[in-house]
Amino acid sequence: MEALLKPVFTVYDLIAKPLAAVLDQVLKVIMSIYDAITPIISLPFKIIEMIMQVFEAPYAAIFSPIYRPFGGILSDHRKVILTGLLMLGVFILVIRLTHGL
Amino acid sequence: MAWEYYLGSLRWLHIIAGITWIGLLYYFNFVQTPSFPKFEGSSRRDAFINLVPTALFWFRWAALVTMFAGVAWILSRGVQLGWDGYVGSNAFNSITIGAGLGTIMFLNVWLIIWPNQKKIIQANKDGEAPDPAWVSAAGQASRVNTLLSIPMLFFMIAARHLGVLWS
Repeated sequence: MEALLKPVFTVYDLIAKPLAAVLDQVLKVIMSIYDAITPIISLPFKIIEMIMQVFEAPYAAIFSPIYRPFGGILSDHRKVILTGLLMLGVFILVIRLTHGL
Repeated sequence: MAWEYYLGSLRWLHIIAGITWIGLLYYFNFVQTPSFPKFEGSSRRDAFINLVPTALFWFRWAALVTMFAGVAWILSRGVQLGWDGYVGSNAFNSITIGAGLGTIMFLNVWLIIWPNQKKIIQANKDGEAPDPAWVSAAGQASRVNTLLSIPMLFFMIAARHLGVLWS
């Protein structure tokens, strides 16, 4: 099999190697542009991160206590998957009941 | 025509970022969490310092891109179709449930999982044992997200492929 494929890959290498070299040059140019504008691009992301930090404490104060009683279920991934499936079943049941079986 | 390309691009961005986000969520829940307790103490600390921050970087930013692209898609679709025609449609009903669950998941990532994981990573860097309360809070929110991902993905798909659900 290897002997049969050898001429195919020889021809492939003849085409692919120069193509890869050209592609590598093009990618280097694109990446150098990206590196140059990274400080500008990252600025809005830093701002988002700062905004999100403002909401950390109030959100955690509400939602962490909501999740806590389910800690036993949440510690077992099989129970987590089953609960997710049950939740989906309830959603579908409610939709079907309200839109006609 | 331009609308279709625009909405198609947003959908593509939403899906590719969503795959990254939920893929890493499943990695955390089904691979990392059950495996880490079996690691030696020093190996676990190494993983927390060198592996977990990288995974969390992609995880949280993918969540943000997924959320923004999804919101932009819904708003754009409403403008394209006209809100009177869009609101109340089968697609809108499904996407609203999916987006609601996705929003809770996004907020869990940014406001519970990431802040607590930051503290856990820092504790490992300092050679200290992390507070069990941080581990518990991050773990519970992460498991809630895994749970919610099941109906969330169903309704995301149903918006396009299961209109009969509402008829």
